[in-house]
Amino acid sequence: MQEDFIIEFVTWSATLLAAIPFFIFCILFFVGTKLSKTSGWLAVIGASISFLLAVIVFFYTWPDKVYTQSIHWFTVGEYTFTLKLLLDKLSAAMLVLVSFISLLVQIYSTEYMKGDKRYSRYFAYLGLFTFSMFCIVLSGNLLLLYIGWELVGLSSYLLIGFWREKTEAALASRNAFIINRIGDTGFLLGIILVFAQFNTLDLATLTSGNLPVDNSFWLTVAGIGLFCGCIAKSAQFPLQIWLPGAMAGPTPVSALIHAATMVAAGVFLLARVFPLLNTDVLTVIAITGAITAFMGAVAALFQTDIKRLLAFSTISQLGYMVMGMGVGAYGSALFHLFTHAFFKACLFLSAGAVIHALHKVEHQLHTHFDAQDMRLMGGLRKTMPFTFICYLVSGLSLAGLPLFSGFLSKDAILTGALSWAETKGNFLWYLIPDLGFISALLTAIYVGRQLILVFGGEFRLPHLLPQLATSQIAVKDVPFAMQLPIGILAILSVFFFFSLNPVDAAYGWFLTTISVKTAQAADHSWHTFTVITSGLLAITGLALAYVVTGNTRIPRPAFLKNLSLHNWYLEDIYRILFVRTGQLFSKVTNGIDKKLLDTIIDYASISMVVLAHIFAWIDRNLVDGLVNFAAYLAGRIGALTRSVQGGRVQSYFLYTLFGLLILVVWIIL
Amino acid sequence: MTQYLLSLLIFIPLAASVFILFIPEEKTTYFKFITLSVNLIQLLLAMVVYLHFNPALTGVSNPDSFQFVERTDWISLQLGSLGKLSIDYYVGVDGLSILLVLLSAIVLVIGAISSWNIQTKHKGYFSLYLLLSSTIIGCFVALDFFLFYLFFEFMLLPMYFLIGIWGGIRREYAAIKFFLYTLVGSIFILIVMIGLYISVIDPVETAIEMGLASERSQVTSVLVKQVQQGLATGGISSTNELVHTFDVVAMMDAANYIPGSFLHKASDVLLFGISPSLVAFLCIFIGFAVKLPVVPLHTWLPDAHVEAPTPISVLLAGILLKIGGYGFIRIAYSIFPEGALHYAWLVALLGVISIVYGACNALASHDLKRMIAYSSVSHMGFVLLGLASLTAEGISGAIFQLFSHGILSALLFLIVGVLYDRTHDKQIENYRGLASKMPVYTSVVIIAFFASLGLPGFSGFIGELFTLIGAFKSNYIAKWMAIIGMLGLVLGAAYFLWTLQRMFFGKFWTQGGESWQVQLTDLDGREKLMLVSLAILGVVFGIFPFLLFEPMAQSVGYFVDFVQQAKDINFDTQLVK
Amino acid sequence: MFSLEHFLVVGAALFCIGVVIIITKRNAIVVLMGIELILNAANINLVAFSRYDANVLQGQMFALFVIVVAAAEAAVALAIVLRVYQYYQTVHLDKLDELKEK
Repeated sequence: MQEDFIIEFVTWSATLLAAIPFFIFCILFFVGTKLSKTSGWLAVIGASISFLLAVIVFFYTWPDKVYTQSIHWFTVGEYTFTLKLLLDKLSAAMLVLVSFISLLVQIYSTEYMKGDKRYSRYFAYLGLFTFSMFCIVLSGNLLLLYIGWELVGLSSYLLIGFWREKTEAALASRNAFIINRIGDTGFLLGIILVFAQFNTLDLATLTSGNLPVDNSFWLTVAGIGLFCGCIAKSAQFPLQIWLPGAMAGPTPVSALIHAATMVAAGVFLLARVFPLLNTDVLTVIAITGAITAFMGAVAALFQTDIKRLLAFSTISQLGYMVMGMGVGAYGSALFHLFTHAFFKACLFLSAGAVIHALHKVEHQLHTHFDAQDMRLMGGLRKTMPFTFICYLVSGLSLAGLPLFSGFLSKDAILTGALSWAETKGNFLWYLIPDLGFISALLTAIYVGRQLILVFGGEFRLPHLLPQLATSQIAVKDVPFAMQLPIGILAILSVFFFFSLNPVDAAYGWFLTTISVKTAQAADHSWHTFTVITSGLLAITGLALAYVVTGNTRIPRPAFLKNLSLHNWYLEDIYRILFVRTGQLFSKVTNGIDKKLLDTIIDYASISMVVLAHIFAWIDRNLVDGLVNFAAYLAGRIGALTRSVQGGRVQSYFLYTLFGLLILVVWIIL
Repeated sequence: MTQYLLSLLIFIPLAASVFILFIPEEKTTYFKFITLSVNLIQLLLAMVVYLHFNPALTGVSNPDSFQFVERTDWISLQLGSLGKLSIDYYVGVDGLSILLVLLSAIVLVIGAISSWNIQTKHKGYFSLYLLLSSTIIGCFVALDFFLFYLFFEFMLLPMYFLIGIWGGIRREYAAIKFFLYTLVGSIFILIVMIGLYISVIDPVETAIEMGLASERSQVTSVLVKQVQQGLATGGISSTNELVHTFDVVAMMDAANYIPGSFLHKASDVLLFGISPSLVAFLCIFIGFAVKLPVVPLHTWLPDAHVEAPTPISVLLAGILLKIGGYGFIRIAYSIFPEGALHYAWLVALLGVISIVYGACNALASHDLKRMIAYSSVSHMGFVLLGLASLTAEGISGAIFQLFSHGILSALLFLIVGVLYDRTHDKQIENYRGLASKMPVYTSVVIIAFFASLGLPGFSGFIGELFTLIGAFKSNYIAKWMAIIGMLGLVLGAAYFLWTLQRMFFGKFWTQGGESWQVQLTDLDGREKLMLVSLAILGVVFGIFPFLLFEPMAQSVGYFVDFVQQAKDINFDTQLVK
Repeated sequence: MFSLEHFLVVGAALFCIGVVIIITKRNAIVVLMGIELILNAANINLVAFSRYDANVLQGQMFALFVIVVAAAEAAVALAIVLRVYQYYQTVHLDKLDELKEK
């Protein structure tokens, strides 16, 4: 009885917490303009309720309860599709994460978006996003998950292109959606293949591990297909190009969607379908992840835009997670998802604070400069001390410095990768963890560089705008509504939240529970090695950054710089390879339609007309000619006989006489 | 009470169409209100049919389980040694047609509202519109091939004039192209119809003619079996007693074919080296492929759409294309299941080509309406793919896609109409940043575009999903075809979003400058009514797909089994023989 | 004594003169006179041949009839000629070609 009640209570709470943002979306979408300022607070209240419910659900679920609830949706053929809710420790943890960051970002946004023309619409879209994200997290079957998957794509599209008058925002949103659509199509292919193979989409059944596999080739394809979804959404190689562009959206959105939650959904998906992925697929995943981590880190090195740099770092960190999944370090990858969500959200929100502060200056001076260009910043530690501290904490966490959460999780992944490479045998497989280590070094370098550029040294903007130095206007730290989320997230980026042991999280509350599922338990023989190496790498990187940044005498390889700035020229390659060929192809098909098919049709009709004319000619000249000739002949004959008749009586008489004569002669003879 | 519903659906608009001719030309509002109210009555009746429809009854090839059936002798001629000619007024619905009747009624109402700003020759326009309303419904409910063909052809006539008189600049060209294309298509259908007529008898009528019974209701299934037995063994010697029929349901029963006749299933005559029934299947296929349309028989569609006035585009995309798909199911697949199985790969291939080809063309279009027309070609490719799969999922998906595309394409064409009404220009490049000028309109466009590119939560997604599931599950389609078909999803997103970005986002700018700026006002009440109601329908059927899946489930299951039975006919052995 | 041949010669001569007049003369009245000559040539023949029919004298009877008919004919024909003259203001036959198709 008691048990039943709890099940009902928990599942209803979960449903309700997902439904709240949807209602908020509906309200704000249709009547938002009338609410104006209150819409922000309405959204925050809704998000708070969602968060509270998520916490309740979490405590009922954690560590090892599983709740399901399903209702029939519709039947096609023999299979009944259901709306199924699946609540286990993974989804419960994700629920808390999503609702928590969503809440913080919405609090932050009330201040950040103040005065925007479409203020309520912004919160409406955030509501839609949160709802879709809950939909992904809570769904108990792949179809529902896919629905949520596409809907987050939609809300991401709407939010990237939120300032739709800006051409680059419109372009970026379009690119983001189309690239995501490519991945989603692969994902859908995976889902359909899974369905065709097992005749079910229910996650619990699929992952139970006791389904008969009769065609391993198509299962591999299905696995790759499912991974495609992850590649696009989590910005993995080769589809990572949309994420830097997505920075055209408002910064809180970047923090929520393009750093903490949506992009991590790919990793969540991999975790959800983990038992379905066979060794081949996992290998592909590991390689992709490692490549992405490295490419992202390289691309981040030379960026000058504060948000773009963070975007590339996100790509790189997502690469770590995906690599973690690929090497079987399931728990570690999820762990990194969580730590990354906090410190990266914190970084983005702090970056947003910096941009916000500079925008204010820009506004007050009635001038225009790029508020996101790090080359104009510097020395902000003095004017924005709070933001600086938070940025420092989360930045060091990202750099993987010991005592911070990022260190713990990155460590766990690298350990997993090393032990995985060991089981593979061939030393070439060590390339994967090696790429991870190199990326760790690069990470520390670009984080250090960014910290120094933004907060270190002296403020460089007055060089560009001399009137700034003379006027009373100064950069001020942001208001409380923005400081609060940043502060909370910064605190959560320190080690003790996840594990009391500052160098090993394996026995922390999170990792122990979440990684039970792992098939290959992480081998700890590599652990000490990893801790020392990555700790050293982080410190080296930061030191290197300190030495190099601002020091113009140290040469920077131009090749590497261009490669980094242009994100490995991927966009240009794709433009030539796919966009151009696509356009060419569509031109060709259009040409076929207009030039070939229509011409055939036109010529067919023209030839019909020509044929008709030929027939008409034949009719006129041959058939009519024959008839006319007959008439003509008759006429000629008539004329011949007529000519005899002169009209004179005498000649008639003569003829008669002549005839008579002939008659007489004939009779006589 | 529900007995004459289908006839009412057909004849009320027909009567109104004639009635309108007696009203003086200057009473333009009368025409509009009469048309709208007639279409609303149609919708009401269609709803009644939908609500009273019993989803447990299968229909398809079982004459007893059709619903709302009406049957009376229409033309009956004794042709001596050629047997007896029998054409019936025979209408009824089953799970395959009920949804399309409903769809037609919905779209016709929308079309009537959208006809409100027709400027010239009101009397002719609305009279033709009502004639069209009548024939469209007739087409979907006719169960006699002759009757079907009559309605099918009679649709061309009003359509030709509606495009040719009220259309755009190149309207004559478009109208003639449309007319010729569909006419050529229907000739193929006509040939097969005659072939079928010669080969098929109506066992019930034959029993009456033989004196075994005196009226239809007395003929039991035992008697029917007896007649069919007699036919097969040559027991019926006198050809005078054979009643040839156009009854589509009778044509589906292989036992009703006269032995040795042209289209008899076991006929060993070869035509062009293949069995005549396969040739017949291909002929019918071509006939309906023009209508659907299938690449490469599609080039009439963009022209017709670009030139047609908005309401006619709505009808054309919303309903007329569906008749192609419906024809495949009701005629081609049901009467020649062996052809459906034999040529499943061909149908699927054409479907895939249509998907990709249509999408690419949409990508290259500069005219908004042309782009949407090509997107229709692409979406109809999914229907073909689903049909070819011959699985319950695929066929259900195909019918769902027909319905969903009917709603969504109507929505899309109305959207173009809104723009065209204001500036008389629908070039994509001539607009930029419309979002800031027409925010409500932009919201609707975003909804419509995302619905059409198959975003979950809208009906388009369900249709595409299930056609693809069917394609992957099918034993008749290679998986690579289905995978290429999925490319359509990506391309769909590409052309819709590209258009969205080019026309609606960025800074406001138009080709027409100042004057357009004044003309480009946001939606008025009438437009909102149409657009929002269609958008709501798109969402409703996306979230509650069982509203459509439930009525068709039994029929589709039966249909799939029925077609699969034809597997037993092996053409290869016939060829050897 | 005159033999039959003489009569026939005269008759033939008269006939020939009549024919020549009919063919060559333009004036309708002269042509009528030519017709008279031909009739009389026939009469001469009839009378001459009636010698072989002494009992009934059919030839002479016929000649009488011919004279009567010729008189009637001449009357009618002259009347016609008069009408023609009134209408056409001429009796020249080669001007009267109304019979010819125009």
